[in-house]
Amino acid sequence: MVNLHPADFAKAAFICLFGWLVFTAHADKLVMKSGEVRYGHIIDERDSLVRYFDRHDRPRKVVASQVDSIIYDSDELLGRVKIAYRKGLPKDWTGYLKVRHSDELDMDVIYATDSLTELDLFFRNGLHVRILNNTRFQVVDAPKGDQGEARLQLIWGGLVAEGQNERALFKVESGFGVGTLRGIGRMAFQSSPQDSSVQVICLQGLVGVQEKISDPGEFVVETGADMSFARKDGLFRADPLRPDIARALNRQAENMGHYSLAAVEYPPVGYLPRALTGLGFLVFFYGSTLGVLDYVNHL
Amino acid sequence: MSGGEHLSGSRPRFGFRLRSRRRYLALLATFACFAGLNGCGKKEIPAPPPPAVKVSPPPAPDPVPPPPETTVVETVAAQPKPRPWLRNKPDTLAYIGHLWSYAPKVKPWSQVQISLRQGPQGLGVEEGLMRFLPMAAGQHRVLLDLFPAGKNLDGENPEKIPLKFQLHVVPAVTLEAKTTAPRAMSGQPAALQISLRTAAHLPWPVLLQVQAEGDSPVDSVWSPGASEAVWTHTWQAAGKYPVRFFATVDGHREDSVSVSVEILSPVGSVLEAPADTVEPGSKAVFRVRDLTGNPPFRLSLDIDGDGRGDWQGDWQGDKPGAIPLVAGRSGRFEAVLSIADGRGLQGKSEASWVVNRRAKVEMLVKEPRVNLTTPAQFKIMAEDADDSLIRVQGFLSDTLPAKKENRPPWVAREPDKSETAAQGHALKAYWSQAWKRPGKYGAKGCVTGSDQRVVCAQTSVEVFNARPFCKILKGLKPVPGRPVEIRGEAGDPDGEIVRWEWDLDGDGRYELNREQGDPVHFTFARNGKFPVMLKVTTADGFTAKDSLSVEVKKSW
Repeated sequence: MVNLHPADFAKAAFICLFGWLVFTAHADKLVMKSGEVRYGHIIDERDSLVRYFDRHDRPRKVVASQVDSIIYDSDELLGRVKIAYRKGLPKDWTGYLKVRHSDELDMDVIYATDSLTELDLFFRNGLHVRILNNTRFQVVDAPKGDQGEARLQLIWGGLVAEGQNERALFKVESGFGVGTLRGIGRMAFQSSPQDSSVQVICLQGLVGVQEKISDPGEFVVETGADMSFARKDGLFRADPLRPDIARALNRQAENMGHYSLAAVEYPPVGYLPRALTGLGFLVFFYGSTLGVLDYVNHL
Repeated sequence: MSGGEHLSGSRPRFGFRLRSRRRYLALLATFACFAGLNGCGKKEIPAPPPPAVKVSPPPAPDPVPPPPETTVVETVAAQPKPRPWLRNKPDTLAYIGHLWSYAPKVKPWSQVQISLRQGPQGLGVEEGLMRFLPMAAGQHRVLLDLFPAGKNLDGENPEKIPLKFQLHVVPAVTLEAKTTAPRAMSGQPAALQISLRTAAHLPWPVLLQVQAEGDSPVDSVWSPGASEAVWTHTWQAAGKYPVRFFATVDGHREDSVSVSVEILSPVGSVLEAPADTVEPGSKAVFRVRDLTGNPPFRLSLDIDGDGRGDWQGDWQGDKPGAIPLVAGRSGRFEAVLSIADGRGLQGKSEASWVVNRRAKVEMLVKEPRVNLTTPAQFKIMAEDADDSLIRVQGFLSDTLPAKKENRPPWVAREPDKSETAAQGHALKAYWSQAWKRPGKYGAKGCVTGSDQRVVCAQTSVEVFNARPFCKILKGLKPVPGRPVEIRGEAGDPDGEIVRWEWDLDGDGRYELNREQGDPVHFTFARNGKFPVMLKVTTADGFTAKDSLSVEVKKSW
């Protein structure tokens, strides 16, 4: 008869807990237009095709037109900002873009997009920033959690930002002005060093503009109005947005609401076999180890 | 000529005989020419010139002159004197050479009869008579040539025997002149009484000449006889003037008379009343100048025509001076200055003047400073106690006055509204005018009374460009992270706000530039007190500022 020592029970509990921790890892969530939900690790995402590893780490792909929305798992992100390609190709060999899909963004590096590439940046505070082509930028600050503000320095080019919850706070710095997006809303920001101008376009929500980042606040474009807040020669001008520009920007940002960064919870039933498999392996491994050690101990 | 026939009929005893009528006439002509008469050979009397002075016309000459009176000249003298030329010719009729030469007085144009008689040592028989007419007054030498009849001892015809004697012709014209008044006033005609007497048988008219003040003689033709006339002349200055009258008959000045005329200056002066209408109760200065007469003077001035002297005083000398008096009641008066000089002469001088109360006019402006859009309102209040007001007119300067000319360019304007009161003796009129440029403009109101006097009053108004104003509305309760609506109010009384500039970061730079005054939405990022500034600009460039300190905190 095996006489179990109480320490063995503690060891067994530790092993079970470790196994649960290991085998309950998070994954990205793809919501198909058919209502099906898939989990996996997205490795590439194009307008035509989405590639990912499923929960059994098998490579999978799905037609992008069948995907309704993608929720990137924030728990899988090690850094503060997640990068997703929107358009274009990684150009590792040219040294032009040295990021891969779903990598975290290096905040010490100035990034640039070429004439085709568009990058989607996901921040932990529910902010989704789409870097347009021909843009040079650097993320200055990003929140570690869902509180705080994201600050991005736009050297030139343009971007479209979308706040997906009330806590979203985003400030785009340029040498000629600062654009601010607070809460749920959508903002476009353009900076042109040629004429030292910035243009903050409110597509939705609370969008403001200020002269310097140290200013006590920002001028606010009226909520819900398509307004252009331009600063040129040191003066701001608020003008109604031209419909063609508003239409083009909205077209560029129309699918931004289908992407988000959040903690994705695995359904417990779906991951039970994998968990049990791991647990059985651990029990077998550690049990065997314990038996061997116990046998040796009896020797 | 009956005398001539008588002579030819008698024959002298001592050979003196007028052999024929022809010889007698030649003798007479020689006699007359030798007497110095200018009428030798003259057949016609020249026409006299028309009179040029005020001489009463003499009576028309009688066409048939009366026969001349006869003067008998006796050539016989008690003591004959031998003549040298007779002595040299003793063989001639020396015994008849003793003529008595003397100077009888005769009147011109009277018949002179010469009787030749033999002297005491001669025949003593009157042998001949001759008559002639001495014409000119004065001493005349009469030359008589005697032609003895028969032959002398040598059997030749004797030479003629010239005889001479003096003939004193007294003036035929008697002229007398006297002044009708001892003195005459300068500028007034002075009359001189002239009496002229001539021989009744004077066959020629008398030419009267007058010379006064150095002028050329003025002729006047008078008929012979006794006549009188009045000669008048006007002297302009005082003084003593000699007047000479000359009477001339047939070129010979027969008589002259000189009269002295004393011309006195009349007593008078020039009285100058105030030319302008004088206000009742105000000072009226009457000026006296050009005082004529003989000082000292005694003056009495009556300014209101009531016959009582309002001022009396002695006036030393004839210097001009002023008499200040106080005007009385309104009206038109004749001021009379009575002058009495040192000789007792009196004179008067008059001048008319008007006393009338000037209308009281007051030009008022409701607001002395108005902006560009607010019209300035003017009112004139006029009152005239003694005249009715018949017209009111305004003059507004349409533009700014020029720099060189201080007088603004007036533009006449009828009043927008006028009211009369007190039966036309008072009125009120109103104008309103707006100017487009800031500056200082003038307004003048003129009122015309029934006496046609115009009284004006002037005022000015300053037109300025009103400053805009702005204000940031208080009551802000900003919360960090939430937009707050900041409202501002601004306006321009005479313009339009064209620019709204906001400074919400407190750096002094208005970084938000808007054309509308819509509220500004601002999101304060943190707690604290921050200045908010607003600046508005009008279309004409004027600005207004306002600032507000805004406190931002998380909860209110």
